[in-house]
Amino acid sequence: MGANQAQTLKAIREAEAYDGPSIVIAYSPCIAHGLKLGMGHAQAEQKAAVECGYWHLWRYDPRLEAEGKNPFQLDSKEPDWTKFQDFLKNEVRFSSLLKQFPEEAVELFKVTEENAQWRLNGYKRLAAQTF
Amino acid sequence: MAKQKKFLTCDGNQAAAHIAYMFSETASIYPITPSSTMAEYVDEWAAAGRKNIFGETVRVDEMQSEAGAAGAMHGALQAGTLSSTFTASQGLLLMIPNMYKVAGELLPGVYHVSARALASHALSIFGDHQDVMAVRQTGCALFATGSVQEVMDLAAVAHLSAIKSRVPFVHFFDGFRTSHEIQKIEQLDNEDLAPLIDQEALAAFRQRALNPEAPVARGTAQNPDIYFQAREASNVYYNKVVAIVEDYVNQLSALVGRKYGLFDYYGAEDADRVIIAIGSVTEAIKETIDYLISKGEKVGLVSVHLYRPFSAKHFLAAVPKTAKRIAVLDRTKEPGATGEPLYLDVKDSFYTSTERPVIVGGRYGLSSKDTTPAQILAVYENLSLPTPKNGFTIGIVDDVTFTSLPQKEELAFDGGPFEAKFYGLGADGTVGANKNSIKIIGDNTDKYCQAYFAYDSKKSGGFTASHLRFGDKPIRSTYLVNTPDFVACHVQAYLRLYDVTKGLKKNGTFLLNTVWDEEQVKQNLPDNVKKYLAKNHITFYIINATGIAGEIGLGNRTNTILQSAFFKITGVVPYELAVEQMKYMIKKSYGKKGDDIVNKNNAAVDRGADYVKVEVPAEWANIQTERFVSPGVADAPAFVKKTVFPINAQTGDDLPVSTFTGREDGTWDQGTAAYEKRGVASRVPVWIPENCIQCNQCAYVCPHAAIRPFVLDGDEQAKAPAGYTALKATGKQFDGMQFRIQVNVLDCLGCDNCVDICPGNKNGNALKMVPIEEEYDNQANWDFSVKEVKTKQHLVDTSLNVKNSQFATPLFEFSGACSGCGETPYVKLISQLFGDHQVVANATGCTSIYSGSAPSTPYTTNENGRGPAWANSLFEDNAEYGLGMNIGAEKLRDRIERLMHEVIAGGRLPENIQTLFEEWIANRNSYVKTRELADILTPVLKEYAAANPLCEHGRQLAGLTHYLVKRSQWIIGGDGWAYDIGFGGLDHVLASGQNVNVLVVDTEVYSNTGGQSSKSTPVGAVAKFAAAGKRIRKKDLGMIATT
Repeated sequence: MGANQAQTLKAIREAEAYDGPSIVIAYSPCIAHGLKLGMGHAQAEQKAAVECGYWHLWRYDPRLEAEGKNPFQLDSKEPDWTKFQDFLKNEVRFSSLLKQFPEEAVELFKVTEENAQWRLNGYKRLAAQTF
Repeated sequence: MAKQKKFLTCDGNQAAAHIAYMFSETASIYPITPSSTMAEYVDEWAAAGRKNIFGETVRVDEMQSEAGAAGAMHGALQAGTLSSTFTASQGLLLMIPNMYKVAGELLPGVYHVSARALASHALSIFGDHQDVMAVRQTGCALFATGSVQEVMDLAAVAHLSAIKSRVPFVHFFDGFRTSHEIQKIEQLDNEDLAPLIDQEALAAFRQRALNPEAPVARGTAQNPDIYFQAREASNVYYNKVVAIVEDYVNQLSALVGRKYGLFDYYGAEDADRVIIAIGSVTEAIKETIDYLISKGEKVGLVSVHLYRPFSAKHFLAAVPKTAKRIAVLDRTKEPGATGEPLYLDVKDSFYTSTERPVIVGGRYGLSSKDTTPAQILAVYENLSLPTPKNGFTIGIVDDVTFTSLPQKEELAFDGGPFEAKFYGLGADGTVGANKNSIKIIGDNTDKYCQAYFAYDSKKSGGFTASHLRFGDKPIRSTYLVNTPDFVACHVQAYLRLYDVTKGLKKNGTFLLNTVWDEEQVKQNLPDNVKKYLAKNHITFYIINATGIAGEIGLGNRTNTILQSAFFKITGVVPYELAVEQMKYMIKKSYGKKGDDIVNKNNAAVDRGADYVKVEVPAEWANIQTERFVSPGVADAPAFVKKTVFPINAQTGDDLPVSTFTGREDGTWDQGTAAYEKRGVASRVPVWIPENCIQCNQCAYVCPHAAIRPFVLDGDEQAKAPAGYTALKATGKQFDGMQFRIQVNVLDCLGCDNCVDICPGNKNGNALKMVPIEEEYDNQANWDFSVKEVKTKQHLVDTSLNVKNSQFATPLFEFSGACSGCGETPYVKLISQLFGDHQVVANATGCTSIYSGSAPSTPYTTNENGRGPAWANSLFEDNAEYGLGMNIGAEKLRDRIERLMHEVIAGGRLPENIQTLFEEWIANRNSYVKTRELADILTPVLKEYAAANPLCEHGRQLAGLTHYLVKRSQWIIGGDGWAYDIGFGGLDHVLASGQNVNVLVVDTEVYSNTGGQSSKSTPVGAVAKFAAAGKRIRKKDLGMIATT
């Protein structure tokens, strides 16, 4: 929601309108994340999550396929991956690992980023498909 | 052999986990309250490299559900490793199929259960024995402990006996009362218990493991010819369990120096009245027995440890021959049975005995209902009646079926422990400070101590009560502090909300955190408190911890100051020692965060002595006043006044059974959250109209629906109170109208997201946070807005854009979610878009707790009385539950269509009605069309049916009018549900083709049970059950759903 308010509205509206099963996966900051700036910045944190590539916005609507269009639409812009590690460090759920197991944390955070890139690469391939 | 005593201040879960760790090689786990922390301890200790009896760390695997945990445990046992799990309630129910298997295959698994209520008319996370009584037929042995010390002393019996007997064990103790009660206890270690393992039996277990070197088959299908005989073949193992357990109980008794048996007797040798019970209540019964014996009464107790197999021989040997009257207490309910399980076992045991006592049974303590000595006294008094009541209840007033025994005054025992009670605000640090205090006292003195913490269901800013006891003897009071020596009220506002001095002992002490000075206190203290203080000669202290915290720079963290004041006032340990220890703890907790925070907290400790003693005028005793009366909103509906307000005032325990007449199925009214008006934010937003661009983003992101745009027409503007500033509303549809952003001061949680999102204009932000005290007057403007300003949502397309969406009235408001919750803005938005025709199936979790914790329901109705209909079934079945709701509604809508077709075919329908029917059939899946048609058809059909009672089609259609409108079916839950426990069902529902909508509020962690890792948790995140960082890649649920 915080990353793109209109996209949230659009996704919910389209999901509800679809005459069949639909699912909306909504990124939700939680006190369990330990936002360094506090829960008052939950919306800003969502924005940061999408900007850095931690979370991606997309919609998949099978109705488009029937119209001969690509049902997969990638809504978020190309992330700024340089912000990714800082994003992690702004949440206690990640930063506490850095305190406890500093060396392993660096390794694991690299994997976190690679996983996010891997997901995005998949989305990009889908978005680039021709119908 | 006298062993050097080693003390540990811990709760029951830690004690159970401590023992389980020693005997486990593998543990397959899944979070559920109140058992989760057992598994968390095991996971943390494994991450930290703690060694079990075998010199290794425990291999811990979190599974997708309890069914999965039970399956993995079964497999690990077949592979030849000693395996354990930890669960409760619905989790234990999910393990039942595998429990039969593990028992049937004679595998030595151990299930540690912090026994909890089951979801029936409502969910409850609290303690009773409904779950363990639902597994007594599985073939697992059931072994019970009743206190934190008993857990430590006897939990090993379950592991040791399982190894030796081959029968799996359930070790259970009371959820919360034992699992979460902190006590100072004696500790056992690896070297104490390792020698007790039957190495031969263990070797044989390893030998039997599945092994391709010497392969066998297990789990075959058997037919009528042999299944029965093969099942009976295992009897020999069960026949040996009792002797094996008895032997181990004896060995452990010798080791710890406390005498235990399969059944323990406590009381007069020649008791004529005896209670039989299991679990923590036995401690409170022992206290009551001491009291009654001192009065010359002959009473006793048999507490049960080994419940299955039930040894009638040992049981009868434990009951004194003099017992003429027996009351059996069951902490469960079995509707339709001739009695609860323990009662039936006891009666059956006496069937072949020559003794013929009168035996009655009763229920107590469901869902952690506090069971006090006064209630136990009522049980003994019942036994003294010529015809004691059978099937009785205690602790409640049953004015419907009259099962309850008469209520007695609470007993205050002489020479009992020092009792203290602290009222705090959720997340204000009171509970944490008290946990800290109990460690300080436990670790630095010879005193025994006990702590128990009670919370409401609010995620933050809720009510907390800390119940602490200290004494020179082990503490057996397994109930709340009802007659405290010391009460501290950490929140000034509570004086009017709750009866804070209730039960405070004569000559006791009352500490109030207040911003008032002595004179103001004398003016402002409520009459009921004044009278109580004077009448009972209470020593009264005040401290302005709120002010001091502000001065030091600790914000609203008053906890350390008040903790220090507590130590100084009570002198429970020498104050200098307390100060030293508090500072030591501060360094330990905050040391890593820097010197500044340490220094501030140290200053807080030093300022704890800044309290003032207030002389209580004797004439206060003569004040004429009602007993404590809870405040309420005057124009609240009857249900809210009768039921919701008492619960919010912490007096729900006093509500009789008849309160729920007509609501026996658990039905609750929507919209009750609006009557709470908690006012717990310290800062709230204030609107700066001149900077506002009317974008409505503040309302869009508000997790609490506590800031909204209102649009006023001319009439409404004329009625507006003075100072109700408004802007000219932008947009041509609002021509001539005014616009105002209104904050609901008392329901705001002060999270700051609205201020953070506000774009403002070139002059700055249109919202800013100010102390709540400055904004109390603004609440009247809110009241005016919601009462007098009609919604203008029909003037705009509310689904067109973010701004318009916020002109729709939220039908989800003021939930008990955390301040700043990331989930509720989505839930609220959906209620704005589809609420008046929305049906919600809600998975158990944060969403279900903040959407439906009695007495607060945030889902509400619009001006037509329409709104979301909401229901929660379980955690694991939510997708299926929602699908079923949709299938059911559509089945009845199919009937409407069939009936309409048949009537049309009949050819006698007026033309205009026929057209409407045809339109409905053609547009039955359009909400907009069906709403229009329903508004026309509903009165027509009802009138027709009334006028033509013999027309079957008319009668049926008139009965189905509430299905005319197309519904918006939502299935809502978190990632624990969608990615893990409910994934199979979700997958099925997504493949079903049915028109249902799923919302997954994805926090990438099990938020409700305290933050355990899920398959949504990304690599590197630290969560419970992932203490060393998550290692497995986050699952891409969205991608799976598209295929």
